[in-house]
Amino acid sequence: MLVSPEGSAKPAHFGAAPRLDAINGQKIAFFDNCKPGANVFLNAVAHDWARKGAEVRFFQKTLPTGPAPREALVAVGEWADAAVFALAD
Amino acid sequence: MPSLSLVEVGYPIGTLADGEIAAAANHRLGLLEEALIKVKAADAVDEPIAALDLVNVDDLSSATEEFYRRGWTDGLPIVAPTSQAVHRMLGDWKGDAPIVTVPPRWGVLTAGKLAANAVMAGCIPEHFDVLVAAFRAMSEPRFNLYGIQATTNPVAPLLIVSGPIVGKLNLNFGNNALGQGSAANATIGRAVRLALVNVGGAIPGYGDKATLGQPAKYTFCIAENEAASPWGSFRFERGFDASTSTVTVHGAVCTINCLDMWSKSADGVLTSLTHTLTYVGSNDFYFRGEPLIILSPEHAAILAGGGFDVPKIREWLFSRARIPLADFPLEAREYLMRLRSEWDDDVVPVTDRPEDIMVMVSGGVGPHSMVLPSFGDTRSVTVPIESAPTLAG
Repeated sequence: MLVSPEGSAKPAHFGAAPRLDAINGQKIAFFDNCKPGANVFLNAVAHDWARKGAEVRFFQKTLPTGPAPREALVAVGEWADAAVFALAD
Repeated sequence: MPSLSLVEVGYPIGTLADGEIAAAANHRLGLLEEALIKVKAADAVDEPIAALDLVNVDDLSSATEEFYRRGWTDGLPIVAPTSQAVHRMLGDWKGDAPIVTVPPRWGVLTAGKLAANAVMAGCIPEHFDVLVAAFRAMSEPRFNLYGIQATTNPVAPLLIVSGPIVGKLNLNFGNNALGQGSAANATIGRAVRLALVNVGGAIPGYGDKATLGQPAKYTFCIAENEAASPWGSFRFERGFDASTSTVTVHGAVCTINCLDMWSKSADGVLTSLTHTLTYVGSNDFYFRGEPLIILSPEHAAILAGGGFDVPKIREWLFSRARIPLADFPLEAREYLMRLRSEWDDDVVPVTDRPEDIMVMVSGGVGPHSMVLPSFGDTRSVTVPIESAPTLAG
């Protein structure tokens, strides 16, 4: 018998957030990570969801490689019902 | 996270024309909406922290093959982590003692898990406190381990060990200090990598999206050549005294050699270092990083002989390691212009401040120093190396 090196335990606070019931009437934040094209992709989605009655607002990271600024995350948490982040390259 | 709903968008995005990106988004609007409003998240559940969960292996000779099959190795043979070996590695540590959580999987690194990875890497128990310190350092938010683990960039955490423990563990700070040949450097660095994969989930192509990676992802550990530094250890300016041993972690993208066998003046050595530090394609220019300069003892002596201390070296490099904005690709210039409020003119400095250039001395004889560009949005972190009773008490 050998000891497993794998750390499988995960804290509960990394569970997914509750989902919305509808798009209409919701405040949805779009978080641009500043990678090339992220704003274009998010704009297209935001345009569609705004057309369906969502209130949309854009936020932006200063640099694409690190975590979002805490103030921005707090602002999103206070204002939005849901947030969409752009990831990857 | 089993309850996470995913909508796949094919790679790449960044190099497409705006119209193509918008089309990719429009093509998935229905799926995105469904992910937001229809897929209900399952309740998150705490999984118990196992002390030492065991794996059944037919015989020890098949351990490497079995662990490789499970994705738990770096591709090289391992030492079988038997319960006996893991307990010996733990010493005074309790196996279920949590140390940190490791992204991107956010697995809980317990002392027992770290010990299992350390045994696999070939470490001896005397190395264990260094490993604990390294993970404590990497867990500091300013190090940005999440980004370093998951990025397409080849970045790897470099461990820099400093202080009396260097001699006690026979860590190499002389010739070939970043190369092969030292058991302590090799196994400590390897243990960190194995735990980053096995606990953090930095599995190539999954949690670790590196386009090419780099050889330093097998092992990356150097010791400071404190005796050869004309200015004392770099840990002194970070608030540690001569009797305290430390581990520093630095998010290094690569190693770039700086040959200068001709210069007899400080200006000459600094000119060589400046041009080694300054290139389009460096994360430091785009993401405002903290490059590391490892001076060879020979180059350090020339600089000190020319009246330079570390702050003066930083000022010299900061004032000259710059690239005209016009030398960057057009689209990159647009990105950089957003950061431009930090600069005086149309020339991009390598860092935001002189203090963001890290300087240390290591290596043996020879006219080669080294530049290690950083990941960018990362800062090195130095922590003391403490024993289990110290941390517990």
